[in-house]
Amino acid sequence: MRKVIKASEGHLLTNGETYGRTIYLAEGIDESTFYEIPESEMPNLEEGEAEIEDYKEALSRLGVSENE
Amino acid sequence: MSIAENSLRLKQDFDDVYEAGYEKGKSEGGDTEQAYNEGFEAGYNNGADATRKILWDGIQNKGYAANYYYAFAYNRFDDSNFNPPYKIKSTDTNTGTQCIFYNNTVITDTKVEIIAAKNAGNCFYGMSNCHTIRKFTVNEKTTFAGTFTKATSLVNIEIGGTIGQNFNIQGSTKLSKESIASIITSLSETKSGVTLTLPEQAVNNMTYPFTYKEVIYNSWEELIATKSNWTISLA
Repeated sequence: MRKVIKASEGHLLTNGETYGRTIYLAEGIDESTFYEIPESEMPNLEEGEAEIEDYKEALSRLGVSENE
Repeated sequence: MSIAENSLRLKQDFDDVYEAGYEKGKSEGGDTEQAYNEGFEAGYNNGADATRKILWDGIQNKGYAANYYYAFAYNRFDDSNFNPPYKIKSTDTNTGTQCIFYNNTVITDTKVEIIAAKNAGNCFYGMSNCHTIRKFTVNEKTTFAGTFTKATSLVNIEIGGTIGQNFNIQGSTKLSKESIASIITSLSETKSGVTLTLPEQAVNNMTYPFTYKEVIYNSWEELIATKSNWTISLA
């Protein structure tokens, strides 16, 4: 039976990479690596944005708008 | 050439086109007015289909295009003109599957199978009105950074192949139970140190028992039972 950990009200569990209210731990994962943070401290995980900015710069150099 | 001469030339051109269309319609459709219209419409549709085929053959290199980087991003295509005749099979392992539909907010259905190469980062990022991603075939090396970020309307997705890297689809809170089952049953059973992040709301809305690919699942625990090598986060 796998271990399940749940965050308290208004909080999230994280190990610095994964964030969630309920975590079903994989076999061999130590639950002490997870700790609670307030939901308000959830980081922005919109990955890839920096790369998109590069793309916009490239379009700008070509004089092309994003919607063309 | 004066404006008047231009106008006359345009009228003559129009008349020539009209005559050509009329004759073509007549020859293909017969002599009655109804038959003429049918013939013309059939001819028009055939011509339009041929034009679309030429267009898509160019975009997809007759199905052999290796790189679809930003190919259908930023609303350049919508449901009316996004009709790829071939699977979207990207083989470029660097950027081939990246950002294919980046911030396309008007396509609601991807219509064809998408076969990912190594990097599927941001592939469906910002597809805020897409409800259906047809078969999305991945491999154990395919990575998913931001792949489903802001895909908030997504209901249906079928995974092909095996998921072997961290997979986060937490923003798609309307996912069907069949879609969630498709994701979970596609998880590698040998990889370690990997995490699946699912929308808690969609998981809580699942009802049991249900059948997926001829297997009956009576509970959430039963569904995830064979994937104990994955940490599964509900966010």
